[in-house]
This record gives sequence, C-alpha cells and structure tokens, in this order.
Amino acid sequence: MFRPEPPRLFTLNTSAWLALELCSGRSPGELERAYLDETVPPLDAEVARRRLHDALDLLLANGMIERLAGTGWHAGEA
Amino acid sequence: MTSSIRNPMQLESPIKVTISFTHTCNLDCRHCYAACTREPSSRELSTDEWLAFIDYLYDYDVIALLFEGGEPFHRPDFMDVVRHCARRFMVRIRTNGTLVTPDLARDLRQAGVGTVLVDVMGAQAATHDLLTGVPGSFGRALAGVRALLDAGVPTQLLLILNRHNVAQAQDWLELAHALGVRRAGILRLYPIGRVKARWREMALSLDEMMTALGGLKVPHGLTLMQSWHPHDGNCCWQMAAVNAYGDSIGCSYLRELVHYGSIREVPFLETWTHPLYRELRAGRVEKACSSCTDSQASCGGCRATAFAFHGRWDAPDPFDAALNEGTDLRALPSWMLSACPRPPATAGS
Repeated sequence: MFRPEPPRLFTLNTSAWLALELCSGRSPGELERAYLDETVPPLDAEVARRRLHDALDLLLANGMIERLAGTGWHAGEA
Repeated sequence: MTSSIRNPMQLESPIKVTISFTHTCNLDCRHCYAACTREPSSRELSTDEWLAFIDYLYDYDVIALLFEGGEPFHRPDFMDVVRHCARRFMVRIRTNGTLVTPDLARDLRQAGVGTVLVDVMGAQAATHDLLTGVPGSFGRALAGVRALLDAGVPTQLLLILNRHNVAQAQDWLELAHALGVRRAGILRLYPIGRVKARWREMALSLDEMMTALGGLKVPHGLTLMQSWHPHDGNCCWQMAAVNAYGDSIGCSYLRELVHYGSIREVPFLETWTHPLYRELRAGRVEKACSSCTDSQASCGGCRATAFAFHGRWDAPDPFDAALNEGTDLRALPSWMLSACPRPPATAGS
C-alpha cells in the first residue's frame, strides 16, 4: 500500500488489507457486517470485531484511511 | 531446470519497477554498470515514451518506481518525469548526488519523492574521486546529501564494496551517521558494464567481504542494509526493470544477461510472461541457504551473480557464504567479459 503524503510503502497484514478493501462507502455498521461475513467462521465474531477495529485504528493512524463525518471511512489511493 | 526448490510466492504482475532512465552521466566511474557516456544515445526513450510507460504501469497497479541510470539528473527532462509520477507512486531515485542543489532538493521534496539513494564510494575524497574519475565529486556528492537532508527528503547512502574502499567501510558508516542519514546500504560489486574490465583490480574474495562486514560497528541510530548471508535473497520473484532503451530486463543487475522484449514493440506485461522471466521468478534453484530463505522467503540468493560465476540460472549464489563452495569471486569467468555474455555451452544458441 502506498501512502503519498508523506510518501511511504506499507506491507499490510490480512486484517488491515481486508478492512481497507471493504471500508470505502460503507457506514461503520455496514463495514462490520461485511468484515464478519468474510471472516466468521473461522474466526469467532468477537475476535473478528476486535481485529477489524485494531486494523482501522492502524490504518487511520498511518493516514491510509480517513474518517468521514458521520458516514464511515474512505480509503486513500493505493 | 529440474530443481525442486522454488520461491513460495508468485505475482501476477509487478508491484515495483526499476527504470534506468538514461545511460548518460557526468562522472566516469570505473565501476560503472551501465558503461555510461556523456551524450545520450538516440535510442533512449523520449520523455513522452517514458510518461506513457509510467501511466501504463499506474493503470496496472504498480505502486513503486526506482529511478536510476546512468545519472538520472543528468538528463534535462528528468524532473518533468518525477513530477508526473510522484504522489502516484512511491518514487525512489538513485543518484551520484553531484547534481543535487538546494533548489533541486526542495523541488524533490515538493514533488513528493519518497527516498533518494546517493552513491558515496568511500569515506575519503581521494577514494571516491579515484573511483568516479572526477576530482571534486566527493565534495559535491556530500553537498547533495546535505541539501537533500536539509530539504527534508528521506536520504540514504550506498557503498559498492570493492578493493579500493573496503578498508574504509567503518569510516564510511561513521560518515553516513555524521551526515545524518538514517539508513545506509553496502552493496556487492556486480560484474556488469565497465567494471568487468577492471574485475581483478576491484573484486574482493568472499572472505575479505565477510571479514569487512563482520567487523562493522553500526553507529546508534543508523540502520545498515546488506545483501550477503544471512540476507542474500533471491529478489527475482518481485523484480521488474526497463533500461533507457525500453528493454525489459527484469533487474538492473541482469542488464547484460537477459532481454525479455522491448516496451516499444510489445506491452510491458507481455514481456513479464517471457519463459525465462517466469522461470527466474519461480526461483527454482539447486541449493538454498536456509538462513537467507527464512529471512527473505526466497531461495538461492541473487540470480545475477549465480549466473555470472556458474553460467546456470539455477546455480547457487557464490556471494552467499553458505553456498560459495570454493568459488573465487576475484576471478570472473572469461565469457563474462563480452558485452552480451553467454556461457560456453550456450554461446551462439
């Protein structure tokens, strides 16, 4: 994943990659449902939720997604 | 090739591409891999051809470009190309640093360049200038590094280890640290281009290299990159490179050894499917060093140096201490001295 500003390449783990793939255009609830659809099973729903939120925190902290007012997230260009 | 060891990963298309933007340079390095000239060949891709190629790569999801040369800043249209692709790709530029002024460094920062890698060929001016063939180039390279750092451009130093600078490797690390760079790389000497004619003068034995590397004390705050054991990866699985004439060559270090097609004649991704290219990406090798395989998830070490010393694509990389098996790296096989080297068994085929 390429973040243009400041320029840096990231290697994503599978949780972060899936969160990034699913997040654009989805509300927080829709994103959580989509993520759980893809990962439960084999993951337990609580584990999957925790992984999703950890991944979103990481993506947000590194400027790869942005939170849109009231609607959810938007992924930057890869 | 019948080897059963192979790389675990396969890419459908490259994620990063090396672009040898020009085969011209303002220096006369005795180790030059591109056998550069001052004036450009009429065969070099034009600005428009490069821009179209870069757009093509963007459309096919390439995310990182490494520009090198020659000396990329020696070609007047280089910054136009940089501005076209920075912020769309992670852009890295390898340069001799001598043409980087404070204004240019600020332009690079403004454009959004990711990293600039500067070749500094020793810790002392006499050594660097001897190797570059141009008096004063050491001072100008260091001035370029300082300008880049002052402008806030992430900057790294590179050293190609050879007989002229091996005794200065520790001092070179101290120099890198004193300049304020955070990462520095020590690279092996590859038998390509102009250096082949000087191989006996410049090449070290593997023992000499490993002793020099093993004795280094990396200053606190500096990260050292090196590609010898236990970091001798076989990068072919992810490599793509195009030279200044538009030839798809897989990797800059394979530049004389392979030709997968011209991007002037076929789309780049058609060259990606060339049988030899696919074979090298598959990484089938006779032997692999387990430490290097573990660290890089790829097998057998560098294919360019394996082929140069053994004449086989699946041979062990003799720069890897675990795979060297007595190969004297100071003695280059005579067939490698030709402009387009082919081992005796395949010459003329």
